Amino acid sequence: MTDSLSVARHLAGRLGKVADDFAISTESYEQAQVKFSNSRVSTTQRWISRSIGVFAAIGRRTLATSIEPSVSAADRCVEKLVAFSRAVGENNQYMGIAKGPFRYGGFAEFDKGMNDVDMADVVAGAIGAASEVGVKRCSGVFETCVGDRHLLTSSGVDALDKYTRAYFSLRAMADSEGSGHGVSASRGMRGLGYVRAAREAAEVAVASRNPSPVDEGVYDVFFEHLPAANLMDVVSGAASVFYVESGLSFFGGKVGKRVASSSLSMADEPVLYSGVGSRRFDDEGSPSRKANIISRGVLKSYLHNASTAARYGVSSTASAGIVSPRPSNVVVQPGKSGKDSIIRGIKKGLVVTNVWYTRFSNYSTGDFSTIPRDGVFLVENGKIKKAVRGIRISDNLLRMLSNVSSVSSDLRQVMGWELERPISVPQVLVKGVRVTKSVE
Amino acid sequence: MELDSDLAEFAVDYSMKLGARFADARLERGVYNSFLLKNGVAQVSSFEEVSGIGVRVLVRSTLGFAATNVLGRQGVREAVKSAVRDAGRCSGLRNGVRLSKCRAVRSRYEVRERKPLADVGPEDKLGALVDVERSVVAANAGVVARFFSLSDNVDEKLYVNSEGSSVHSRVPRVNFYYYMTLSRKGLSMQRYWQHGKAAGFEALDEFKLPEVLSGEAVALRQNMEKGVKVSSGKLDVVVGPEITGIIVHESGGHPYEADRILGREAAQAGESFIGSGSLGYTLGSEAVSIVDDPSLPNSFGFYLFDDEGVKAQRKYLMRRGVISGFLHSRESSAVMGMPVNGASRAKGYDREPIPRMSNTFIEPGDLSEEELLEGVKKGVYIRNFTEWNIDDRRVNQKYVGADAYVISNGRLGQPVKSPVLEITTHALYRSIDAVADNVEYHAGSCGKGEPMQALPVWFGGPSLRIRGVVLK
Repeated sequence: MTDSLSVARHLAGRLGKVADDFAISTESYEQAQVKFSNSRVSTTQRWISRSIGVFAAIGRRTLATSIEPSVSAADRCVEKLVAFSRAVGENNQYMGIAKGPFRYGGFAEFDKGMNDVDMADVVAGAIGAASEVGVKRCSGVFETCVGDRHLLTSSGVDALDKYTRAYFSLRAMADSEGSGHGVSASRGMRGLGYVRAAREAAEVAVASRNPSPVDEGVYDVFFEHLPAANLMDVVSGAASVFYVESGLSFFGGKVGKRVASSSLSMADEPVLYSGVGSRRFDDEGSPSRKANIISRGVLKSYLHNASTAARYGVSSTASAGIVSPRPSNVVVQPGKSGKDSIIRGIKKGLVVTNVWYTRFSNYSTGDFSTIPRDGVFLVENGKIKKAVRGIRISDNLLRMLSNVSSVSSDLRQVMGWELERPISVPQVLVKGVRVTKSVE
Repeated sequence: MELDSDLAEFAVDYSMKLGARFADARLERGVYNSFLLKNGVAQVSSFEEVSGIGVRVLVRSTLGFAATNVLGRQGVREAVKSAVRDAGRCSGLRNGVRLSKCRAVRSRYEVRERKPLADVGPEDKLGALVDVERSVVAANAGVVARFFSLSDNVDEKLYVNSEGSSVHSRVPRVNFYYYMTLSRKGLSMQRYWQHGKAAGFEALDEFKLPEVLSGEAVALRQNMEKGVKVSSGKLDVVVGPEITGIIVHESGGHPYEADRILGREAAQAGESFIGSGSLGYTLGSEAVSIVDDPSLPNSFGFYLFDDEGVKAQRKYLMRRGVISGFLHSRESSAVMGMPVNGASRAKGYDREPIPRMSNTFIEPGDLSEEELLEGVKKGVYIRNFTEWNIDDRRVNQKYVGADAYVISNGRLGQPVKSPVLEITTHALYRSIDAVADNVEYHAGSCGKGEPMQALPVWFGGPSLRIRGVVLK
């Protein structure tokens, strides 16, 4: 097989003669998964991939493609890019890619033993830990991935990045509608904590058996890590200037303004050594750096690549996506209180352990709803009273951000089935959340 | 260029040689183009050709799957070895997987394109988006943000298995989706929708996008500026085919996926309120019959053989209100002891096949939509919607109307602002007293599996009349 990087260099040589800008990313990875349900293995899965992704700007026509790693494919690709550039309209908003070359920091955590993990042993251990708590059955996935990425650009970038990650997800099902979901994610196996995730899922499942109906109304809602991650993932994505311009963000026109309570701070931190989404450089080669999104409730900046930053007269936040800037390793700053002390302060509230199906009526206003799944618990006068079921959070996300009253000190790195990216979150208490339910 | 059948056969043969009891392989090549227009400005235009092979093996009653885009015997050998090895290592936790018996098939089919996608240049594809942009702007409806995406692809697939099946298919698809954000005087509305067919570029003519989107924009502006909230209390609701479609997809299709019923999807898209013993249970009114049919010509969810080489068929999930069938893979049908019915689909070569919907719809009745409305003294007509969701057992669902009107003595009146239908599946299906004859099919991308598999589907049906429900 032809070496991908050699093909990329050949392609760079050809593109250098016809394109104003280009970025060529070679990526190879091997990802393995054990999927289990009813406490047995449903299937094993493995993906072996080699690819070359190409961005090119020719006369302000912005084009993208991918090719298999062969010289002939690279040559065909150049011809087709030129033909496309003659056929499509100008992107008059395009202002060029990041001007390198750059100096980069070191690699983030890389677990050399990731390919040798006994995946069956991990799954069996997790199911065993959950079963000890008293659940009937467990479902989920355990996944490992090892990969590398090499970027070449027309602005002198020639740089390598490499990564490993592990992801564990377990949903525990107890008798009588009780269920709980635990997840964990890390760059190396040592930080994974899958047994804790399994045990906590099982504890929620057992505690949430025989749930009762609960009234619609306004509640203070304590979001555990997984639902907090789901909501904060949406919030961080809304900071992309691409989404703002598309009408798909509630942050339009709000840079420098208060968008959340002062309890909330959020940043994209792709430079953290153990961040699952950490990377040495973004998709156009800008060296990764911390980008503050919300600081003490104030929206500090949209997420930019070099082109959008030039158009707005600001600095790139090193968040390319060349088409659409995006965060890659989001961290919500933890607070000082523990879960128990936060819950003690709730008069009438709910503990939500998972949400799914978050959908917006209108992204630009933030009107949305999301559905709690797995254990939901009623809190009265600082005490968890009972498990409840059948509710929906129907509110406005900006309003909820402004009503964040506490964030816990317990920061955890989360990936999930509906999450766009890894995110580190504490638990979050939001006051006065509107809760609805279906007519039966 | 033909797909390399020798390579696919080699994958299966090599799997059997390494000890698999059963093996299948899907060798696929997809040619993709996509175009994006944001607020009138061409963003990125892209094209690519993606090829790869996915191999599934049954080893010691455990399924193993491996996919690679490193094509050639060495790459396939590595993938097969890893699938057999991984499954074997997990056999201590084996599920006792069996696959229902199937007759070996050899077939070849394709969807013909009247305007072949390969013959239409990027200027015409991007030009179609520019036409939509001009039309929406000309409607002067205050659409301040416009996001239009057009993509097309031709998927060629060769399925082979160790039982002698071989199915070659070639299916082109066209897919358009959009967001429009209206804003005026502090008011705002947003519209998202999708149009898709298995066809050549002639699909664009049939979508009539400039007329449809500008018409929607005008209606939404009227709603935004003149809409009223309906008073609470029970009333009758008539929903148009678009909402029928999303209802039937979410609560009339997903709960009937056998892998959900068996718990195989519990940690992902969830389970179902339906149990394996629910066949014959009366859930809805006699007016409701639900069909899933992959063979609808040019449908977005079209196929003639599923991704296990099983012949596609029209399936009743509900017949006159009674639960009457499930969507099966070979694995789920073997577990439940039911006939396999060709509902196992994979998004691409790099995903495992699992039970999925294709084109799911409520069968039409004899009444016109006008006749449905004539039967309503006080109610609301909802043509389309924005936000929706449903819980993971498919009971607790919500649809927020967008273009909606008061019904008074059978006639449409003032626009209604954001009517919310938030209702359980049981209450909803038993309250449908009449269905119209105006069937429409709408396109969507259905999500399930891990990693996520977003698959093209149609959903639809006619307008429905829902008696005595509460709108919020």
